[in-house]
Amino acid sequence: MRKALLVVVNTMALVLAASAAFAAGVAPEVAAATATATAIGMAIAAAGCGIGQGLGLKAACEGTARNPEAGGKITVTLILGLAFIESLAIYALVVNLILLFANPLIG
Amino acid sequence: MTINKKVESFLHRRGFTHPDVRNLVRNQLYLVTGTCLFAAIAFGFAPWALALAAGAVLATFNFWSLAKFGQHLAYMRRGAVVSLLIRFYGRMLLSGLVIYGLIVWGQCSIAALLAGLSTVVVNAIFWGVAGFRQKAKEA
Repeated sequence: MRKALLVVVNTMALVLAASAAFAAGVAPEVAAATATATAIGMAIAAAGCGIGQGLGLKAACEGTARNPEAGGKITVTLILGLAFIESLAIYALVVNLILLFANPLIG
Repeated sequence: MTINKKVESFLHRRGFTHPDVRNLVRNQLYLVTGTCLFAAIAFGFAPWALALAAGAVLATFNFWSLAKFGQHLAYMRRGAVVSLLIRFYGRMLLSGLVIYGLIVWGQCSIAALLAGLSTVVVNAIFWGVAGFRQKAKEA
């Protein structure tokens, strides 16, 4: 617990320090909040998509093991599902990059 | 030899052994080619068109890599999840670098970039609709 707390606090400190470094002409608290929000947002998106891909793969493997003849159809469905999930992660990445580097709200 | 067979033969040589996956990737290649042609014809070499094409090519690269690995995924006996996640995060890192370059250095239009990145989703939706229609015909 203590170790995890230390890691979280260190990460927050790094993110806040980085935001203060690149923030020019923007209020430091706004830049810090933006950097923290993007870090947390991308972390949630990547973790969620990773979990989703793992679950999809688990189900596909189980389905193929139970019915090997359906493996072809399962593979195509799996690839489509993985592509959808990956698209979501890329959209989250784009939104986070916009927030960090091309944020229209802070001009 | 039709163009479809030529493209499929090219894909087969590149390691796409599964016929349905090959069709999916072929459709994606057609879609990205059509998108790039449309952008070039309709908008010339405007930044909007270049962003659209860049997004479409990036999405196709991601899909190519995913499909090539994914066709063997369900048959792997060991290490499937770990290799899938490593590849996923690797692709995400590369995509992040490219998108960072496009947004920050290239000052690309975000809407065009997202439209290009959505070509994979469009391809998947077309595939699903085509399958649904085929099933409806058979029923």
